[in-house]
Formats: sequence, C-alpha cells, structure tokens
Amino acid sequence: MLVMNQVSKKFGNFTALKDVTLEFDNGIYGLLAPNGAGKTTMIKMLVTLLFPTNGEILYDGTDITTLDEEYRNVLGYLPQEFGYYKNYTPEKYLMYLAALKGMEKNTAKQKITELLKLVGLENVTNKKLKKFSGGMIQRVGIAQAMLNDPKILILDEPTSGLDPKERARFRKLLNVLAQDRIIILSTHIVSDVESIANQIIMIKDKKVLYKDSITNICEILEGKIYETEVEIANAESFRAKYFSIGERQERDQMTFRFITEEKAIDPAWRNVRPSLEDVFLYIYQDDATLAGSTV
Amino acid sequence: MRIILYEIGKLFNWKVIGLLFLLSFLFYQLFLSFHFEYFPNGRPAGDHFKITKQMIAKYGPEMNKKEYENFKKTYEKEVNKADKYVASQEEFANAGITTYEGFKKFDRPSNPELDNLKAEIIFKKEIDIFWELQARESIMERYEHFEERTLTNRYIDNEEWKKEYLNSESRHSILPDYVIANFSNLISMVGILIVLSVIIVVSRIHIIEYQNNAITLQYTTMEGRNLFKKKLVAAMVTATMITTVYLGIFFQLYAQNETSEFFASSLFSFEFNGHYWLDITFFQYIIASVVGVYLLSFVTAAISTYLSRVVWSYISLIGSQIPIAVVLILLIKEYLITRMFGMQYPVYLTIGTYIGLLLIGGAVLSFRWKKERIIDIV
Ligand SMILES: Nc1ncnc2c1ncn2[C@@H]1O[C@H](COP(=O)(O)OP(=O)(O)OP(=O)(O)O)[C@@H](O)[C@H]1O
Ligand SMILES: [Mg+2]
Repeated sequence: MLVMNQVSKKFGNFTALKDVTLEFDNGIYGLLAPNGAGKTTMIKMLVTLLFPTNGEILYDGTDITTLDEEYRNVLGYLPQEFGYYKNYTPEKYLMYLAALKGMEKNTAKQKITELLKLVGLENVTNKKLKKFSGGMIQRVGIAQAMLNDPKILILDEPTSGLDPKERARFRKLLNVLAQDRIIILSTHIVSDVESIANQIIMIKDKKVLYKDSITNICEILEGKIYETEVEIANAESFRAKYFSIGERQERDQMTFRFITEEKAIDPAWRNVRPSLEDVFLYIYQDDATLAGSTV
Repeated sequence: MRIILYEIGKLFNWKVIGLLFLLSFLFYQLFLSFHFEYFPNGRPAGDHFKITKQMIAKYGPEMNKKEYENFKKTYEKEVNKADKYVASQEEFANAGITTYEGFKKFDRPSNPELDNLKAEIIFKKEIDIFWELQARESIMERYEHFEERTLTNRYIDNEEWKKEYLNSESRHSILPDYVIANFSNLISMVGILIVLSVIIVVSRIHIIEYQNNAITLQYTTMEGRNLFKKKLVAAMVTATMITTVYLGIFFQLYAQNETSEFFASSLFSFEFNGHYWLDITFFQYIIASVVGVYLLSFVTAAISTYLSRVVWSYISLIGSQIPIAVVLILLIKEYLITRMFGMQYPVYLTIGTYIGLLLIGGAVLSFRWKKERIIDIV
C-alpha cells in the first residue's frame, strides 16, 4: 500500500500542493484535474523526483526515501515528457533502461521481446526511434515502464498526443496490465479514465477534493443535470441564466445540457444521469485554465 | 559495468569522432610534425646529436674528468685529420693556411675568393669533419664552464643547494638541451590536444540527458541518482582511453626521433643552460610528463563532468569551458608540462598546482554529488 500523508510541496514561495493525504491499493487510479492543478507535482513526489516540503510518502509503512532503490525497484514511471535517444532502436533503448533497472541481460531480452509484442511494436524493433510517430514513442514509453514488472505503475498524461484510436488501444492495454498493482494515471481528459479507473482523484485549489469511485463522484450532481431544447433565438439568454455544459445544434433548435439547482423545474426539461465529465466541468467551472475550452 | 559501457557509448558518435580526427590532424600539422621532421634541426645540431650518442656508448650516461681527457684526445685526433684536409687544399695552402685553426679563424674581408671556398667546403660539400669539430668544441666549451654558469645562475640563490648541485655526479651527465626541449615541446602540445579532446568528448556526459529529457526516467530506475557516480566512472575511463590512445600514437611517432640513448642521462646535464630541480633521468622525466598528462586529463574530465551537469545548454557549456581550457593550456605551456621541474618556477608551484587542480576537480564533484542526492528534479 502506498500512502501520502499530509504531503505539501512548495516551489519557493509558491505552494503547488497542500496537505495531500491519499491511500493507494491495487487498482487503477485516475488523477483528474485541469492543466496546472498539480498532477505532475504529485506524481513526481511519488516517483522520488521531488521531495515533499512537508509530510511523508510511505510504501508498506516505510518512507520511500528510506527504501531508496528498494522502492524504485518496484516502480514503473512514464513521465509527461519522456526522453529517449533518437538514434537508438527501441530494443537498445529498452536494454539500456533495463540495465538501469538492474535487470539481467537475458531476462531483459526476453521481457523486451514480450513487451514490444504487447504494445504492438514487434515489427519495428530495429528501427531508429527518430522515425517513430508520437503514438509509437508513447508505446515504447509504456513498455519501458513495464520492464521491471512494477508493483506501482505511474503514468503522467500517457495519452497526450495520441489520436482517438491510439487512446482506445491504450485503455485496453491498461486493462491488461491492471492486475496486482497500483496504477496511477494522470490526465485532464475525462474519457481517458472514465471507463477504466476504479477511483478518481480530483485536485482543486492545491488540495485533494475527491477520491472516490466514479459512481459516487457522479452522485454529487444527481438530480441537477438536465437537457432541453431551446429556440436558437433564445439560446443567448438561456446561456446567461444556466450553466451550460454541452450544446448541440439541430436545425432551428439547440439542445442544451446544463446544471441547475432550481427546485421548480420546467416540465420540458429532462433529468439525465450525470457523467464524470459533467462533474469535472462543474467543479472546475470557475477555473481560469478551462476558459475557452469547448465541450 | 553494463551501465558504464552504455554511458561511454553515448559519448562517442560520428560527429565527435570526426571532430577529434580534425583536431588531431590540425595539431599534428601545426604543432607536432615540425618537431618530428626537423630533429635534430640541421647542422651542427645533427653532428652534436651523433657525437653525444657516441660519447654515451663510450663513457656511459656521464662523462667524468678522466673520460673528458679522453674526449679531448679524440678531438685532437680529429683536428689532425682536419689539418691534413686543409693542407691538401691548394688555394688555402697558397694563402698560407695549412691548419684547421687557421681555416677556422680565417675571415671574410681579406680574401673574398677564399671566403667563398670556405663556405663551399662547409655548406656545399658538407665535409663532416668541420661540422663535427664545431660540435665537439661546443661540448668542450660547456663541459669546462658549467660551474661558472651554475654560479651565475640567477634562479639558484640557496648556496647550500648550489654546492650540492655542483658536486652532484649527475652534473656530468650527457644530455643535449635540444633533446629535452624537443620532447617537452611535443609532449606539452600532445597534452593540450588531450585536454581539448577530453573536453570535447566528456563535456556531453550529462547534458545529453538534459537535452534529451532523460533524467526523469533515469533517476526513477533502481540505479537512480547513483547514475551520477557511474557517469563519473564512465568519464574517467573515457579520459584514460583518450589519453592512452593519443600517448600511444605519440610515442610511436616520437620513436623516430631516436633519443633512447639518452634515457639514462640526468637532467642535471652539463649541456644545459636552463636548470632543473630534480636529479632524474630523461626517462624518468618522460614518465613524469606522462603522469602529468594523465592527471590533467582526469582533472579535465572531472571539471567537464561537473559543468555538464550544471549548465543548461551547449552554448553555456562551451562558454564555461573556454576559460577553463585557456587556463589549462597556459599552465601546461608555462610549467605544468613544459619546463616541468624547471628552475624558472619553484618546484612546489608545479606540484602544488597539480594537487590544487586535483582538489578542485574532487571538490566540485563531491559537492555536486551531495546536492544530486537531494535535489528536486523539476
Ligand atoms: N519547478 C517549479 N517551480 C515553480 N513552480 C512550479 C514548478 N513546477 C510546477 N510548478 C507550478 O506548480 C503548479 C502545478 O504544476 P504541475 O506541473 O504539477 O501541473 P499539472 O497538473 O501537471 O499540469 P499539466 O496538466 O499542464 O501537466 C503550476 O502552477 C506550476 O506552474
Ligand atoms: Mg503535468
């Protein structure tokens, strides 16, 4: 079990995270927050790149800095922007990282063949990385994180730069890898975690706002999400009155999906089940980083 | 071990190797080839070189007073031969010149025709004996006056040491000054070439990771931040490799200068005008120079490794390496390799500078290692 206990991180005078207390058991955790919320900061502390300003991170009861290489030995990590040598082949690159991970040469070779097959790169093992597409590179990144069969797999925005097809493929892959380990995956794209995460962690104002299952998180908005049709001419005033989280135009009408806390509801409104996306937009509605985003 | 090999492998790519070849070629053409091709440089240096070698074959690395008497006899015999030659030259005989002494003293204005003839004998026909005699005379001149030269030397002001120096048997050692000068010139240029090459190769060691954004991945593996130490080992191994290869090639080339006869001769030689602090043989001097070059190569590797970790771009890397390279080159040319143990500088300055440089290299690295263990990788 991985535990963050009252962890804070400051960069000089700037507080990036405050009093984060979290527990991770085996399963997939989606770290969902908009840009700049502190996802990478939290992850970098979990992978020993950053040291908490306050608080401690424990793995099976021992501080991870004390565990040192024992901890890193069970860790797999895919950084948000991960580095590779463009003249290396995926095989050579993975062999190098396997050496850093303290793996035997022969064990590493076997594992690499296995993993490259798993991520669908078995036909390009001897091509130089500089010829790889973004999606292929990202798959190499996942393969390297899995090299040492980690107990803790941490992926920082693993789907950024991937097209929808690659994303779907990636989700499938994660499901395969999900057994018997802690997987923490950060994203600001709701659909990345919606179908696969057991738990969602949301960060707001430098603190953990929620850590719960998707169903429980969606309950927050139970009975508050509606859909209705509005004449285009009236769309503007509707928008001003309600918090719209989705709109779709059909001929001369607009279909709005919106949040309201009103009790006296219009009979034309249809109550719908809240989705994770609704919650995300609701929570971060006044977050500047979301301004201008389209739904 | 595997990690170290990977790290070394990353340092060498075709661009770097090409740059090393180019630099070596330039250095060879500009600074080295001359000292191979023109050694010893012309006459009578060549004759001097030959004669001193004969002396060593006959007397051993030193020529004591008794052996010197023998040397003078040989000289007289050679003079007799020269006398005969001069006497056999009609033009000189007609002018009343029948001895080598007369031939030597004869000077231009009185008889331009004869003057031309003298020049022809010496410079055109290159009659060996006249060159050789000239060389022998300079040896005798130096042997007979080395004490005065020592006594008037402005670098030696410790009377006791002066006495010790003069009474040393090594003062009779046979070692022409140009042999040392030639080697010293060569080895210091080779030393500079090695320092520059180590800078070129080793400086990339950390910055490639920074530029490729690989540190986050490396530092979260089991090896983790210890990679810093492995990279340091890789840097030192690389420096050793570069130094050994360059020195290996250099000594192959240097062998053509054929100076091995002098290996057992002391630096206290009566042949020198410049003096050395240490009574060591030429061979020991070569070894000392080689050790010096290795030490400089390690210091350069240490400083380059440190800088490579603390700068953020190739431009600032080059910017910070230039002053360091300049200082090292100046020190090498001044007293670290050239004039190593020479009396122009206190011997403790040389040794102290080496120790100082090693301490600086060690200090910056241990400072960085302490920081590396606790630094946030942002
Ligand atoms: N080294 C640093 N020095 C100062 N501030 C930093 C540093 N690293 C991050 N921050 C700040 O901390 C906050 C959180 O950054 P972080 O990178 O953790 O966000 P994130 O959620 O990963 O964002 P993104 O989705 O863009 O990757 C940001 O406001 C950022 O500017
Ligand atoms: Mg981030």
